[in-house]
Amino acid sequence: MLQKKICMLGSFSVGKTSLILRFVESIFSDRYLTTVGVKIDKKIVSVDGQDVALMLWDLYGEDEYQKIRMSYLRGASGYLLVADGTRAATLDKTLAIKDEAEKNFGPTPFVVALNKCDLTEDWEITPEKEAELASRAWKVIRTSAKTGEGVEFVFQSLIKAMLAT
Amino acid sequence: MAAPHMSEKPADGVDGPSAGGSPHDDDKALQELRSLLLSEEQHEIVALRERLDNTEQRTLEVSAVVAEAIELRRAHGGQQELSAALTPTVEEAVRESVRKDSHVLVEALFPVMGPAIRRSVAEVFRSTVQSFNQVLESTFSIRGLQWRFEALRMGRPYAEVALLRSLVYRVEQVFLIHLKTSLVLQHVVDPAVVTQDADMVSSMLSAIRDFVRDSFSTQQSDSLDSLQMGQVQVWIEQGPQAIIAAVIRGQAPQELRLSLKEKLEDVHQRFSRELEDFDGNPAPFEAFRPELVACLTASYRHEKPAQSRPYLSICAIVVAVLLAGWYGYTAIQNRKWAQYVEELRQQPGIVVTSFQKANGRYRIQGLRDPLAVDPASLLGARDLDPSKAEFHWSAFYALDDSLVLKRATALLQPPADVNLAVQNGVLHAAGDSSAEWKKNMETRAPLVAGINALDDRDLNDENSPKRLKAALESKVILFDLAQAEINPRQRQNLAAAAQTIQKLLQTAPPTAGNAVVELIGHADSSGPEATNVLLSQERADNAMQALERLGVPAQSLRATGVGLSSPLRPDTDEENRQYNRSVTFRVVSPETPQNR
Repeated sequence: MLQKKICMLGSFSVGKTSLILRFVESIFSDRYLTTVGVKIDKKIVSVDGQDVALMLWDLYGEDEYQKIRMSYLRGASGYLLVADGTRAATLDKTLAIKDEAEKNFGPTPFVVALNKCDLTEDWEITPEKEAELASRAWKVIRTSAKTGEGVEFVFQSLIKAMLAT
Repeated sequence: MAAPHMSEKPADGVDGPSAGGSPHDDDKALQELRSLLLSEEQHEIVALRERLDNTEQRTLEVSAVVAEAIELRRAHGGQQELSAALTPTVEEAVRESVRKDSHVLVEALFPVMGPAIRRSVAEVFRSTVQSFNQVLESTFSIRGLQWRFEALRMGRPYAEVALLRSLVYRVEQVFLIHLKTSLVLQHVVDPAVVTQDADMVSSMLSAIRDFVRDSFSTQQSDSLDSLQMGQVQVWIEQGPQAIIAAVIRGQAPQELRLSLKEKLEDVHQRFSRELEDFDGNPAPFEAFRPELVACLTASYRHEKPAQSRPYLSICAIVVAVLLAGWYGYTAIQNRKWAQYVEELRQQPGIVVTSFQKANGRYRIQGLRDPLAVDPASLLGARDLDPSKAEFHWSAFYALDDSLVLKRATALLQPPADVNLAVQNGVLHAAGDSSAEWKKNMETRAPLVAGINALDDRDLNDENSPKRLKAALESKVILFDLAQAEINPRQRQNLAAAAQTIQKLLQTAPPTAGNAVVELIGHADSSGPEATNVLLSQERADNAMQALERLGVPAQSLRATGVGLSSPLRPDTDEENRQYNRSVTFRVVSPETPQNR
């Protein structure tokens, strides 16, 4: 069976762990538990009739006190860049992490997930910003770990991107 | 190609003076010169080119040296490269052979399949027997009992506890991990071990390694090479492209790490391209699985046989012998006492009501006739210690015949010639006694406990016909030689005979016409027989007349002379002859047939 390593990248509290929980176990918890170090999950998905074992590396969220250990990203086949749509600054942080990852390990397939799309009233990322990202031929998908919206799609998109390379 | 260049300089030098000629002429001249100088080499070059272009020729030439070339390559240390180069071809050839005709390969492998299967089965059997032996050894030892207790306390199977406690080490899992991606290339696990998801373990292991390396600012070449938690260790060997991680329970020898290194080197050597190009597909590394399985080794603790402690063994043997001896002695003693009590029960006049052992003494309780055998007297015959006997008897009269006889004998004090017997409560008295004793017996015998009747028909007192008869028939009236007259010395004897006859007549009066007592006259051998008969008859007649004079009725007497025909003693000397000169008595009982 084909195996792929996916790293969840993003600022703290953007919902990386919740996305994995929703994707792997189809559940959501409002209780916030910060990830310490790294947590690894596994899910087997079928893409175009081929089973793929995804090793999901849920890295702790980067903030002003701690930076992501780049060594965790080594060998990743793709990144899921997660930003909190209700905190625009997290998108910038996520993109910064992506740049640093590419600087260390070269170009790697990725998809941008703008999470917490269920919180429409608090949404801060402007349509112009989303359009600007899309203009770079990036895959940008709104997701909600709480409702499950876009979660399956964002992972499927990333897998296809990885397998296409 | 070099040759033309090399020939240009000399050609230039030669062509120098004729610089004014046409180029065509120069080329022609050059060709001629080349032909003159290099025609032989040119032919050789053409031949070589044809040889190289001729595939058949080249194949023929290579076939002549291919075996030597392979041998030479192997001799120079290129065996692995050679194997790597030939493996795909050989594998493809085998596949093709099987596809075309599998029987060829089957026939080729047939001789080795049997031994291989047998060896495998034998190895499995040996392993099973070894495990079974270990279980048996541990089950019946103190250590085994401890483990069993531990298993109970922990609520885990005994086999699991026994296995863990006797384990030196066991390689439970081996991971072959791609270094760059942290993905599992191969994972093997001991069948007895329950594992987590190998992919997640592998990833987490890599994350931990990264974390440690990043956190402690070690050199890039440094890496985490072991983890330990409780009884479980993880040994990690890292190569340029892959990691081998072995999960070990217990304390493994360092040779195992060397083995892991060798496996790691092997996988890098055999799968360098696959490792380099790994895209998440572990299929190519399936071929390396047997190598990893070989790493799943284990070692179990074999208890050394206990050091020889002869004194302990001797003590144990002595104690065992003493115990066995004591047990045996006690059993024998108990058995002897039981037999003794049984013998007591058989004794007349003894009734055993209880028998028990307490404080090393044997307490026997019951009833005992005072005339019964003394129970203590029977102990010696069975070699029993009288000091261990404790008798508690109550007296009673037993009605056993033997005891009744004893009781009667003690009371009646029979004379020596009287024999007493008791049978079913009847006292039988036989023999000769005085009339007084007989009367006394008849009075006292019914008073003896256990005597219901008296039988004294065979008891004779001095006045009984039997005794009178015997007394009379024992008398001998002696006569002098050739004399028939009563000797005065015999008168007292004759008087006693008369008295006896008179008593006899009182108990058994004569019937009409039948004599009761016959007087028999005897003579010795001196003189003629006819004279002796007459003499003996005369002696009998004289004795009868004397008795009549003493008051014996004549009709109860009869006189007969027998001469020497019925001597009392052999007529051999004077003393005997004296006896034969006599008269004797014979009581003619009416009951005696010949006398009727």
